Amino acid sequence: MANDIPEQLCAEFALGILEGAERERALQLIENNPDFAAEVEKWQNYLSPLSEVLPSTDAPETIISKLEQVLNQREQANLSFDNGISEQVQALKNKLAAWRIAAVSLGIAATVMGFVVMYVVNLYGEFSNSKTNQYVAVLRDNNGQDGFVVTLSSTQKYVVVRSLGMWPPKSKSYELWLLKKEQETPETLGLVATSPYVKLKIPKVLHREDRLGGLKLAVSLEPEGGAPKGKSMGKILFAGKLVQQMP
Amino acid sequence: MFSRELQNLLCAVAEKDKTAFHELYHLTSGKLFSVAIRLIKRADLAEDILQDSYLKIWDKASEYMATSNSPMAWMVAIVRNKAIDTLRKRGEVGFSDVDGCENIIDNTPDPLALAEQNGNLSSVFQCLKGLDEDHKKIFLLAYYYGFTHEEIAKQFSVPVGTIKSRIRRSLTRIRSCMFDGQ
Repeated sequence: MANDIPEQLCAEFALGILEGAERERALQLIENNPDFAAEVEKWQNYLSPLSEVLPSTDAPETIISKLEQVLNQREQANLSFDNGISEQVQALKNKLAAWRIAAVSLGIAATVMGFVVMYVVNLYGEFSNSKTNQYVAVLRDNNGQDGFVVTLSSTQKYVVVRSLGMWPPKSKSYELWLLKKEQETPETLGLVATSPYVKLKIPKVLHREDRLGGLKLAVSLEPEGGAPKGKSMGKILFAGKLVQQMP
Repeated sequence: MFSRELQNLLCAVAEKDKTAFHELYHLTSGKLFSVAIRLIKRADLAEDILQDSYLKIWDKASEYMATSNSPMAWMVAIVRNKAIDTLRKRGEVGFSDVDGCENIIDNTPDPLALAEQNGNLSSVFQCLKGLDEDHKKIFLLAYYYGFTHEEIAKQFSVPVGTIKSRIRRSLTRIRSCMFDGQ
């Protein structure tokens, strides 16, 4: 552990005994100091079996209903927010058209409006760019049968691979590959279909969003445990391209 | 608890799969409610904490993979942090606030017995065995009930400094037992 980490504070925070300024300090450190946060996590992991051996207490059924209600309300709120934005954009577009007509007859006004339009478009562009974009690839076999769905969020550094009922034969593994430009060696992302959902870290090349769209992914059948030395030995069985999901 | 299964469910929850969330809730809510109710000592508040915690689990499941914790440890930490935050905001909660637990020191769960019943072989139980009875009780009162140094000192009728040094000694011992195997 790094020497400048207040070791005792990590342990006392995980134990749950801190209060006031000391607890506040620990919370600040968790937020701002990854070494401290990792040490707290280590303690929480070690102490967690103390909670896990407690006998269960049935939680009232109303809690799960309330949770479902909150999640549904959030979905509704997101939908109406998105609809609201579309309406606003449509309204802006309509106004823009009206101004364009006016601009033909009023040269000076057109110049002024040009600036206005640029400002509005720029604002909308900034708004769109601040959103997290989702990417998805459906990997299909030669007959067009769906095998795997790969999803990726532009702000996260992993992919989630869902197997659509595809499991490797005995003594074999399915492995996911990133196919880069032609003549470049494919890069392994890891084994898939070890469970219905598999989460895999992605290489740095995928951390830049401008490189995500159109990237090719493929699943091959490899010896159990994956291709030796990271070089594919097997046939590509499923392939597909990463595309941005429409909001 | 089926760590691999919970991990898969958390992965699915990260993808906003409501069925998986439902299943995760049914597999874990009993344990997590038990953790919350011990800490917060009021059923209505424990329900709020459980609800908030599951919303956080829904929102942050994608961050789970970045941690090295087991799925249950990650969820327990969320519940404990929320409960302790609420507890500290409420101000001092005495031992007498614990319903039906006038003799809370003697009623504190004995994790060693529970672990043996469940066949749990985690090293924390072995390390706890190395503490003397008083140190162990103080340690468990802090962990299970979220009592502060001051609250425990009052109950044991000793100065706060004594409790602080006992806690520190216990943590140091547990640390060397778990991290260094001593």
